Amino acid sequence: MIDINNVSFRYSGSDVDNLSDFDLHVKKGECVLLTGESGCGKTCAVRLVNTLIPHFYEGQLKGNILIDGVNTLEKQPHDFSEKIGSVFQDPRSQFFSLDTDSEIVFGMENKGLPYEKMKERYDETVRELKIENLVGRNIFELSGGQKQTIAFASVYALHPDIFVLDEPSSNLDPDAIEELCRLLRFIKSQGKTIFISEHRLYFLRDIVDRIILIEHGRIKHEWTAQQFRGLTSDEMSGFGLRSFAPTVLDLPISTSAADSKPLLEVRELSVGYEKESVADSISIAVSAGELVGVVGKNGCGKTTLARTLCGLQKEISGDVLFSGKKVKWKKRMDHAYIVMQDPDYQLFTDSVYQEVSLAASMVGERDEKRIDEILEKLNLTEYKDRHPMSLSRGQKQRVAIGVAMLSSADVVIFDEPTSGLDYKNMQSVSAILREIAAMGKAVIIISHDNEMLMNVCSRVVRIGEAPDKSELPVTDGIGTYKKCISV
Amino acid sequence: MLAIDTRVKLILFVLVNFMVFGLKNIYLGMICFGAICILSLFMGQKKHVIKYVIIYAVTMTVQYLSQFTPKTIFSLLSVFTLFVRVMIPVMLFSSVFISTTKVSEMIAAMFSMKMPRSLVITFAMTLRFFPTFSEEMHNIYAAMKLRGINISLKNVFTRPLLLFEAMLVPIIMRSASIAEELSASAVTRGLDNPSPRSSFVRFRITAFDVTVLALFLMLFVVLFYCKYRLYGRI
Repeated sequence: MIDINNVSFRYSGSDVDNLSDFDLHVKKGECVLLTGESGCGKTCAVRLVNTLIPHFYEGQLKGNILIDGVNTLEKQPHDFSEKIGSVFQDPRSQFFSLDTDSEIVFGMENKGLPYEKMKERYDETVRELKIENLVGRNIFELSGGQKQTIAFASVYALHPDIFVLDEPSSNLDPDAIEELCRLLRFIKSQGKTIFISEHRLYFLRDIVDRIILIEHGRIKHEWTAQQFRGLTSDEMSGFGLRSFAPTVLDLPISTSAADSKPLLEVRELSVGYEKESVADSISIAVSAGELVGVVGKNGCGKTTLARTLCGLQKEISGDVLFSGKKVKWKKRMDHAYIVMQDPDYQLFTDSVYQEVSLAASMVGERDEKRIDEILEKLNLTEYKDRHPMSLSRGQKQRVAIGVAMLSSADVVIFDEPTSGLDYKNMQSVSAILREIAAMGKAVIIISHDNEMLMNVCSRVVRIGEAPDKSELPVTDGIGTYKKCISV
Repeated sequence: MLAIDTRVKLILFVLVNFMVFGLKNIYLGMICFGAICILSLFMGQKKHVIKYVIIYAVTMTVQYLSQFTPKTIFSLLSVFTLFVRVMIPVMLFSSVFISTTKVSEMIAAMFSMKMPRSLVITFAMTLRFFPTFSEEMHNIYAAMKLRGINISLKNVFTRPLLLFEAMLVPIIMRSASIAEELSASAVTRGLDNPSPRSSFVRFRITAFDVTVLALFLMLFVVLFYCKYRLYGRI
């Protein structure tokens, strides 16, 4: 079905090959998973299959790619729109239309299908994917997971034989991943070919047939699903791979601080917008040096809580205390800082060094040594004259973390710090989080990434769940960590 | 409440613009505004009509009262009121247009009117950009506030450049990456397919559409004829 014959590819403007001598053959109905570190070339391989290389992203291409025996070089992407369906990483930037119905039919309209045929396919898509609740909605009221489902439906409506997915779970919460998993199982049962790149592996456990590990643009290892299940957790982390089994979040659920003098204390806090509360009666205490995870479904108020704690919005009721003193919302910015999920928003200046020194000057820190020290700690020294926007996502995130380390805030909140990160980067972010806690700051981590939470947190707080949460077994997190990660 | 075909609305929009900017005479302008009000009422847009009628009345009052003021103020005010008075009918029609048309209908209408593909796609992307932009702006401003670079009098005077940079850099970067990802996704779904496009939105021209179009064409001709008789030119 898919034949990638000895392909080497280099993006124009780049001086290294992103893929070299890449040879991969996928049979009809097979599900192949590509994994490997960020920047290893798996996105590049995905783009070879969905024909964006060489038609959309230009560069030097050697070798050829055959889809069902048709050379992709000789055709245009639109010739393959009914053959190959692509779902991308960021659900926010895949939509052409403003409402879900138009989005579902978008591909069919481009193809010029007659109305009757389109209507039939539209009804069929809605019925088969069970998305009646998403029909006729405005794109901007959907959650990330719902957007991803619509992106999938839009592709599904074209009846492609091959589904190509580029890190589709990166920005999704566990429920949305479950939904994605359902959709993938469904197309697999229809005998569709699936070509997917991912860091998160567990949700593909019973779908995938073959796992390919890519390193520096070459195929490093290849396993069948059965061989892969046989790998031990040490072997997995040796290959830099994320867990293939779902990680159980097995940490004590506790809202009280480690000692009697918490750095941050939240009492009976209700958060929300304009009197409409999103989450009620939240009480948390966090001490200096503690790392606390905040978990809960999307939309349960985790991000709203974070915004309230760092003074981006006013609470509805309740108190927030820093070092035992009540602090009004507008003053909280001096005490708490948030590192957003998307680092692009938080970088303003034209070099990494300036970015960090701007943060330093805001708190009156003039010591250049301290800036160099932070850059060194975050492995950013060699990039200090680069424009922040020219860095990779992980590097940008480290710059944003550097800013947080230099700010006057004692409480640092992270919103999904490891979403879309590979194992190695997840580990290095975990190390940085511990480092910040060791500086005497209180660290709060909002995340769905159980693997990382198990790695760094001493306890978690659940927001917006059923009242029987306190009855969950309280266990020693470190002791059970190994048990959970092993397959 | 009656719906008008999107293509008819587009033609009306062009007619309205010609009438409004061609007819600066106060009475002809009022007739034109009245016609748009009546049409908007038929389309069930009472709220918009009331709002713009009030603004229109206030503008007219200001214009009337301004003749009692000194000459310099009078001439300043009349330029201003003329501008507002001329713009109101266009604004009313645009508001009604926007609140009665879905983006998908608009795009389908443009395609069915055989407008160039590149133009329609650019237009569609522009429309999609606004809500995205406000979402992005919201996040960027939150990030600025956290760094103490909020829009305050102090910051505007002491470090205007930084303020400007902090807003512009993330906007441009985000827009560029959204644009790239979005086009990639659209290309894989055949956006650049040169063969004729079909539409999930179906149009039917009704008797009401024809009547409205005919009446507005008549109004157009009559008003410009009046103008010709009054001023001796079109």
